[in-house]
Amino acid sequence: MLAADLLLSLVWLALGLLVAGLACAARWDLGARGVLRGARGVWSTLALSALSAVVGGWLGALLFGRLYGAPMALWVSVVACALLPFALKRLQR
Amino acid sequence: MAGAQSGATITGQAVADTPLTQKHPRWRRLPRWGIWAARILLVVIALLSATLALTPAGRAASRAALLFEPVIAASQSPALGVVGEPIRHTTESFTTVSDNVYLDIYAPTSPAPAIPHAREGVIIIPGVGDNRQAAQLINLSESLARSGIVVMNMTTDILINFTISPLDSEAVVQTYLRLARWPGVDARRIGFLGLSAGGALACFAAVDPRIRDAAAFLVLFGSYYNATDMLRDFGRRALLVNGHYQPWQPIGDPFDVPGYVLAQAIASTLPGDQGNIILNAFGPNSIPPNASDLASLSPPALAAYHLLAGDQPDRVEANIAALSPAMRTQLQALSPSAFAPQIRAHIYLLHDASDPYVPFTESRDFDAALTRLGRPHDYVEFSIFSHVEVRSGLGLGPLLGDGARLYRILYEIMLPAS
Repeated sequence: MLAADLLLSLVWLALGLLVAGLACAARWDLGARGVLRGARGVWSTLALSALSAVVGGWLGALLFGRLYGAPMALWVSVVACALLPFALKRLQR
Repeated sequence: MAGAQSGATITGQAVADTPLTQKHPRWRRLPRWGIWAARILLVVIALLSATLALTPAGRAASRAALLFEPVIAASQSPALGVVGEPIRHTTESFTTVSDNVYLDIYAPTSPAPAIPHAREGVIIIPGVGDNRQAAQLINLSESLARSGIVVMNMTTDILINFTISPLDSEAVVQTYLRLARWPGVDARRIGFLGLSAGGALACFAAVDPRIRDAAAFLVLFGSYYNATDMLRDFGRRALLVNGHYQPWQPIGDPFDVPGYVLAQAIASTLPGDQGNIILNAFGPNSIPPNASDLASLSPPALAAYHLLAGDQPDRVEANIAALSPAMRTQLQALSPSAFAPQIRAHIYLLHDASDPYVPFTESRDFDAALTRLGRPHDYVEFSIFSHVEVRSGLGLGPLLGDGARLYRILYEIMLPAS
């Protein structure tokens, strides 16, 4: 059970990193938004997306069942990657 | 950056903040179309995944998609193995007044999710004979359980003995009530999957007042509708399709299973010695009756023998007319056609279009009857199955055509769980 949970978390983490990669390509990451400079922006986006994917995945598993962890992880990490840098930039102003 | 700057002009006020105008390291200097492609992809991913997770229809669609591969490939899906529920297989047995009942239960070990705060249950009745170790049945049961459904495969001594009896209706109802008490299962989200002769039992149980209004659906796969009509098809060795007869031969390897099931029903109305002649003729290790055996049969028994053997195709109606009242009553009692008007659950009729066990025209007749009654139902004919098992070595054509129909049925069956 623990191994299965760990594997599932790793799957969601991988999905989060994929979304982070797309967010960087789409210039929606923390660096592109000017919240953080240079490589720190990219790394922070990767961390933010991976973390939000794992949190979203577990939220989905608890709310709807384990099957829905992956779609929850995806949309939560996309929303986190797209909106959080934007919101932080607004706050910085 | 010239392209990026012209893009900034187009996007107006957002220009000041837009990342498109910023300098990036070499590895991040994507062409403008690449940036927009990534953005569109992210939006599509977000919308699609949110729909799949947050709406009941989306959840049913993802369940059906995950179940599609194990159903069509008749093997465990690696994806379902990773993202699916951990499951446990247990066995139980109990006794009704008329029979011993054996249950194989495949259930998720985790509690029911918060939404919809209940699990769907499916009772699979895998027909006559002992199919509990059939690889495709186990694969289907495990896959359904991994997708969050509690599955009870049920059989009885009567079914294992290649016999169908309305008495087993009680076994099905008791199984339903047990599943309704299973932790997390909602009684209104329980459906039946009746395979082959199991479909008839599901119909008998579905009209029982204890569960009639609660059962969510009936999937009847490769089942018969009217035992007398089926006997007529056996006698004629042909099926009436769109007003024309087309040749049909029942399965003979390892033996004529459907013929033997019909023989059991008929033999139960005959004296022991005559019943044994009929049973021996069509059972496993069948012994064809000799002339003296046939001479010892009563006219109704002889008519039944010729119908089952299919050796008098031009005398089918005469042989049907020669059946005894007891035989007619027995065949009627075993026919879902007698109960169809009382079934309230949504019925899904699935049939292999070249089924050698049960003529596909049986499901067509059921479909026509339900249409006449105005009952909600769906009817699908497949070419990717052989009776109720997936064929191997399927080409892309049949998979594409039947796959879409199978996916739609899976989606609808998964809705109560979602």
